[in-house]
Amino acid sequence: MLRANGICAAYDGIHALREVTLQVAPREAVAVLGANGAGKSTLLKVISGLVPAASGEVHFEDQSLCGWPADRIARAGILSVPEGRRIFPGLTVEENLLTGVFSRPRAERDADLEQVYAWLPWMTERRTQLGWSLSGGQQQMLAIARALMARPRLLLLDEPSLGLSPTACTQVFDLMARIRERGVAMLVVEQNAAQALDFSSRAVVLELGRVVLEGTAAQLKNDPQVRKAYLAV
Amino acid sequence: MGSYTLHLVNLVAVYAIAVIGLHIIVGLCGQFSLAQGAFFGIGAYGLALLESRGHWPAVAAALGGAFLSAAVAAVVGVPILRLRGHYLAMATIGFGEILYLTLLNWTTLTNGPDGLRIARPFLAGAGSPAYDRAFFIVVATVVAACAMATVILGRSAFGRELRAVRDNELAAATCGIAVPRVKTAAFAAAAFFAGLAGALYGLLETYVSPDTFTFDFSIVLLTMLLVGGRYSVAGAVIGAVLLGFLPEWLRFLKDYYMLLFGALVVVSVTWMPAGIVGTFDARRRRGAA
Repeated sequence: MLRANGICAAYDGIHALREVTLQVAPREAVAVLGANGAGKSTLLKVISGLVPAASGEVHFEDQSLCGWPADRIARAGILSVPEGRRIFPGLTVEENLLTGVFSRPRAERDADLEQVYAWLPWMTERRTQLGWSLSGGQQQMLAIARALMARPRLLLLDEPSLGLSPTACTQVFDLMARIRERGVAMLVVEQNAAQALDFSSRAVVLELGRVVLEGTAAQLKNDPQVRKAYLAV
Repeated sequence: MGSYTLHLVNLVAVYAIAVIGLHIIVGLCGQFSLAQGAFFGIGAYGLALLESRGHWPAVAAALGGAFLSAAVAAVVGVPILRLRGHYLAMATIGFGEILYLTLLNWTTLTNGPDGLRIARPFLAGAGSPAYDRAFFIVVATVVAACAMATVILGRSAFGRELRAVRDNELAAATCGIAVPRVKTAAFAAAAFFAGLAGALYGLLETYVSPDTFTFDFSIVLLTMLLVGGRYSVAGAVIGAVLLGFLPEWLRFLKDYYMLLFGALVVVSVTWMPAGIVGTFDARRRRGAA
């Protein structure tokens, strides 16, 4: 479904990604692990069109995304939830959700909205509140729900649990699991390696912009290197 | 109402239209523009040229001025709206200066500093109290229509996209919003209102000259919006009315009026960053919660 081949990217002359190759199959959840500065977020930004790749190609369902701006990639079905819960603080909860909708019949849109409210009942009573008034966990769930409103085929999540309380973190992963059950493929960048490996079917490990390890989640959980560096066992 | 006051009321109504337009680009879309006075000038000169050289009827020429202003904004907006914050503000100032110098020096077209006369305004007897009374009905209708259209725009799907761009450009792009297109559309809509206001100004004064459409005028329009409240149409109108009449109310201060005027602006922007309407809205919301 998604094929990234030999992606290189650089900021200010620093190589953030070197020849990264990665695939995501339909309905698959792939975790990207790595230390700070390993290039995980840059990889997601390249795929979502926020950062241009210096070389290499990204293919999505047999189309090359080369040179596409971020909004066109989003409309093609790759939705990203950027790091730092970037909701719209001056828009109401419901307006935030509706921003994710592209032109689609009203009935379909309303059905999706009902689905989100059914999954996240707390949102129903806050639908007219402004985005900034939500807690961190709620904002993260709103950001994910907003991406969901666009009916994505691939969801890119950058550090969904960053800065959240353990309870909020569980709620966010529960929401992600429900979305996965609907058959949406996911690429998840996560600091919390244990949670990410429990959630995903496959994972890649980045170090200094290179893929150093790749395998099923079960394999990586038992890999001595991963256990030592990321799971702290 | 004395004829002088009526004339002033008409002038303030004309400003209100331009400030409502400014609310679209500054309040809804979050992009600072210091060129609203220049687009006002394009509308005024568009009217004057279409009317005097093109022999268009006044109403058609006024609309022509407004569309000309929007078209120029759509072209200029593509490169300059890539800039943000201070850089965008600088670029809009630059555009305003270029326009001013063009109006001043392209004498074969604009008649230079001597300006242009609008020979056949839409009613007879320009300058007379009867003309100003009739003009008031027209301009009040236009203000009401512009205000209503902008409120509807703000609540529409496009308005939501504008506010999303204002709140977070990056997140807006990842939501599938074509940010450059949205910004340019907002800039052109703001310029359309400014152009319409400029054309009405031309019909009111029956004379246009470059020195009206300077950088100072853009600053006045922006100040009206910031003091009234940039996030709402009501704020735009209140700001225009307040700052439009203030010089009259402060007339007893003679030359010192600018001192108080400046102080009021500093005070309102410091303690009411969301403007008069924004501050009252926040109070009300807190009261309700």
